[in-house]
Amino acid sequence: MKNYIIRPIAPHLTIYNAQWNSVFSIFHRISGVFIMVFIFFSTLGLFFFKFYSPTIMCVSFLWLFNKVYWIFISIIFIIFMSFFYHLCSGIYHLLLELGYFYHMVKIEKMSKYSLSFSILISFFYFFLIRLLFINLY
Amino acid sequence: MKIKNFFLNFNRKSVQNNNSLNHFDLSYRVFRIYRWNPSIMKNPWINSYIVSMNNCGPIVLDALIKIKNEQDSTLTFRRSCREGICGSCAINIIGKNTLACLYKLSDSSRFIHIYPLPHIYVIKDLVPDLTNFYTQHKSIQPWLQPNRDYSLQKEFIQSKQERSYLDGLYECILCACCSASCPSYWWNGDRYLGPAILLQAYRWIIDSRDSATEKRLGYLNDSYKVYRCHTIMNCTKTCPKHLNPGKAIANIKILLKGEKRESNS
Repeated sequence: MKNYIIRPIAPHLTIYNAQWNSVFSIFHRISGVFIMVFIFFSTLGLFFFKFYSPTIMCVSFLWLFNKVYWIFISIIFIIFMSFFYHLCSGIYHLLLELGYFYHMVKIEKMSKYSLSFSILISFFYFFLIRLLFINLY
Repeated sequence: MKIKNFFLNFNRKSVQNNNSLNHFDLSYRVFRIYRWNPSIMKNPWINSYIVSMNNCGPIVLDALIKIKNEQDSTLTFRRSCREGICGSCAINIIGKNTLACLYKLSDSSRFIHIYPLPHIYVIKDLVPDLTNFYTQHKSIQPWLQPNRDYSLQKEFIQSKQERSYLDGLYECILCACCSASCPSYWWNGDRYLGPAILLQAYRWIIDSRDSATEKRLGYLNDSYKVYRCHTIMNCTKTCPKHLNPGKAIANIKILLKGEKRESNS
């Protein structure tokens, strides 16, 4: 009887260091998937919940999330954050494809700039939306 | 006396104290090494070796040879030049792909994890099966294909500037550290060429003495050979010779787009 030897593949994800550049790159993909899932379910939800005006939509959301306001707000913030992160890292990748910033120091700098810029913009839009809710409420 | 010594040695490297067994004692190191033997029907396992640094050389390769000499002679790894020029001893040390003969022991912590190159079939212990890697290297035709008008008796004329375009490309020792660090190469290793091979492909594309540029670019113009690169840039981070494969791949993409670029800057 022949014994076939199945050679193993050397470990990869479990042992390789999570570097800043690789984590930045994979979060671009993760945020994209997250936004797509969110948009899909929100459009699906619009079919089931018929809103006659934006005011009623906001008031109904606020009534639903009255007790769990912070969870609602944090979900909104995460969505904003992922959208702007995806946008800023997408622009960074476009610049990289055009051939700019190819030394590791510049890459780390530019990726950190894009992350901080996306955080700033998401905070900015987040507080704008809060003002909108407060005005309506 | 201890306090006085502490302040006197503050800016110097830590004084070796071979007698104490306190928390900061680095006179020994623990090596956790991935093992697998094809003649034993067993899953891969990890062996721990405690190695004294007293009569051990300064690099990880010295420690591996010491383990093989004194503790476990069945430990298998590739090595040749011991100076970082042949590329045989490429392994994964504490999560990073480097050459064992270039990684200094003084740079590392007490526990040193040694694994073979990630996501490559293992022949035995730390020895990876690089036949796929070499086949891909052969597929890009890594030899000069000059004009048919060139006479074999004359030298190929190349200006200093044209020769400078090859700097940062010819130094590649084909150790496979960068390809083994690329997650894209992990998932698509059969069709994506990987940073090392693409660096070499670019080296032949921009060589001014070579006249088969269009044929080379035509070979690469595929949705898998080059375009699986998503600029993760693990390759540039891990290269033990400090080369930049990510930049070479970006230049290939620009050439494939049609834009003429003369240098590799």
